[in-house]
Amino acid sequence: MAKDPLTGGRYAEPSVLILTSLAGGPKHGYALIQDIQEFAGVLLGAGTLYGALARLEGRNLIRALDVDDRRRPYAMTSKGSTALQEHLTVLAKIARIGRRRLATS
Amino acid sequence: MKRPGGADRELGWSVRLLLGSYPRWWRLRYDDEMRDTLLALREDGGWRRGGCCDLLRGLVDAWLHPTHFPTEHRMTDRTTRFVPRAAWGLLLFVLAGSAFAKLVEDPPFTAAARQHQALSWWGDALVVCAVATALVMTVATLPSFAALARSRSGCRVRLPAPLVVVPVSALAVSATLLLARQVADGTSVHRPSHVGAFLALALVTALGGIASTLALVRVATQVPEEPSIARSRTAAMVATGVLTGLGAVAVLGWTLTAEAETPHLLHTQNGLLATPTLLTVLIALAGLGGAAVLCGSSAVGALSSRGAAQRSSR
Repeated sequence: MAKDPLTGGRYAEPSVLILTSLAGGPKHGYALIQDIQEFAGVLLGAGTLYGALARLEGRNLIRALDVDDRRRPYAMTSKGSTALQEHLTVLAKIARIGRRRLATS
Repeated sequence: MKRPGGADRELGWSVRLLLGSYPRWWRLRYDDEMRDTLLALREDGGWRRGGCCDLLRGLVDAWLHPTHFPTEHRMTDRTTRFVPRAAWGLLLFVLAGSAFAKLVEDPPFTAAARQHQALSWWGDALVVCAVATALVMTVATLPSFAALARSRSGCRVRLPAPLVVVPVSALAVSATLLLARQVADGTSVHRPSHVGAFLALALVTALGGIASTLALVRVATQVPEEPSIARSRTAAMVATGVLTGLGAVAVLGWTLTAEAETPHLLHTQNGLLATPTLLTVLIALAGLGGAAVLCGSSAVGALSSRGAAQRSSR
């Protein structure tokens, strides 16, 4: 995926990317990195990933599940789902307005 | 969650050092996961050259913003969580203050200070702030050391080897370089060998300072917060917040006085290392300002945290 000239390839905050990934079901750290790279073209570093996971956990937007085969999966909470929904609504509004203005310019 | 023996070695010493330098509460919760993820990234070829920078950024974030992270894993003591910010602020104060002292040690500056009393006064004010900060920190750490000596609450201080080895090595290298410089004839820093020795000294000093600060924070956060320790920590953070602020004001005053009274002093072409230029003084001033912000914000945080604790106990 080519890098976006506006953002250098980072379309959203790591927290948004993680919540979007977890919207598809629980995942552990490495699976999150792979999924995010696949759908957003962003390769999150481990420091960034776990910093964001810790913040999201601290705000109760995600929760850690029991360890499965030495790996701990994370799942989105209902609060996280609501937060992501609200964030995406704002993004969709910006996208809609941007497209409309581009079409009329 | 134990990995196969020796698997960690594949991560490399720099990654292991960075992971070992995360706060204890972080390592208890995320260390195993991060190691597994990093190993998987390496096996998969997803490890980037900037991976260490990313880990370093996460490390600084975890130390500076513990309040952003899950409460059940971070330090529970009320004022202890502001210790890392104050400690890094103090390190910045020491480095920037030393840099400023190095910049103004040349004869033209000492002569200017003799001629213009205000320059001398501002310089003395910075020294007084530095000495008072050192005294405050010494007094403030006594209750913690007493608690450690008594080993109350099953307190066990564990320091990773690098945090002890690095400061000692840094001191040894500094001593060797100083000796080498003494043996070499001449004292002019314009000689390439002396410039190299100076830069190496600055580097090992910075590394030693970073390792010592990490060790200080590690010890401070492992000491249980008894009332006397909490009081001394808060008092020390307030005092250092005020003193580092005054230190920054002293250097600002020195700079403005030098510009007003002897403008030629700061507009020389003698090089960045031997004689200060306005730019180098401003860099030192920015460092002192940053130290004042870090120490000041930790003081405000500690005070408001104690205020909230007292209100909730009523």
